[in-house]
Amino acid sequence: MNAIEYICENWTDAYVLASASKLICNLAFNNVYTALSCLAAHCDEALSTSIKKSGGDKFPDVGEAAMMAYCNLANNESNQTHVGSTGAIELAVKTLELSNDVRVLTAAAMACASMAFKSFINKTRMGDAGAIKALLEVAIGRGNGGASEEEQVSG
Amino acid sequence: MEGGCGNEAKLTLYYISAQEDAKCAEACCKALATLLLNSLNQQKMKELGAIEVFVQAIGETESMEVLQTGSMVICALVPLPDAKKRLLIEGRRLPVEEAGGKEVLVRCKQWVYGRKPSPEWLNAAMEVLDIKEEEAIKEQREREIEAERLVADDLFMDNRAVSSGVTPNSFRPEFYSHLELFREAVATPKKDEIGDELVELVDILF
Repeated sequence: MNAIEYICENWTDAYVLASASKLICNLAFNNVYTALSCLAAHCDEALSTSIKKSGGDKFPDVGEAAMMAYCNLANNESNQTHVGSTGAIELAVKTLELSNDVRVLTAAAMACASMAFKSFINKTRMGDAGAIKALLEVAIGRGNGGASEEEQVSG
Repeated sequence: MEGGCGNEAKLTLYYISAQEDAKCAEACCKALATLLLNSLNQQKMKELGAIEVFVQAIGETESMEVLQTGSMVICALVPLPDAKKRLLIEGRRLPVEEAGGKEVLVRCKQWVYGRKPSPEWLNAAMEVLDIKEEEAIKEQREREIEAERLVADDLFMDNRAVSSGVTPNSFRPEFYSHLELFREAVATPKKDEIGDELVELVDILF
């Protein structure tokens, strides 16, 4: 676990950062104990560093993997509260506001849903961070299934 | 001939892009459905004035998944039966009802759950939207008569508890299971990317 944090802190290569984030994501998948161990080893901070280093949509793989990891880490009440208190909510909302990559946006929305699920405190934190507006804009913008058929064919 | 193949490829690309967009909108609706179970967030949605636009967007969508999850958001905005009755008695209307939320729920019931029983959250929200003003007023009168009778029997009885008819704030259940949100990431090793530097790092770390 400490190795993952070391990599995220000291590496700048997008492939390495995305792979480290995917490792956290898969370690926490459907397992409360390993998710807690990841949080104890400051993996949430490592994910935050990875996203900041990825430079928005320049390396979408990093953003997507990090958001999927946040989603899997928030798998019970105490883990949700921990993840929500370390800046993950603000990062997810910022991603929803600024990203234009559909996979990153999907992962960020799933992370929001997972962190807020049955968690009164995270629902309130998200409301304060502007999640409602950001989610509505993406949902309304993409709810019809993308650009019109004519636009795609002519483009 | 070539042009035909090109168009086919473009249509395939369009189909994939549309599917990805629908998945994104579905994820956003899932997040909104859980966030809007909180009354503070419902207030924020009202302040944004986005209910009408959202209901219209869901009403027009061609994706069944977006229709299903969008209906969850609409149901989250529908209050509990007591709160709806109180609104009607006070002469107020429900914003989600005015925006055409019921029509979207009917569409969801017909298209998404056409061949299977519809879920409890959808049935409950539709029942609340079916409550009429006369019914609410009649129930309120009955409650007031009951409150008066109880106060007549017991002078120390607080009749407000009986006559308001409002159940205390309760945590509403979520629309889906938490397990539906978790996903595994697929990591594909790339030989070119794994340089000597990384191999050396392994020696340092372990």
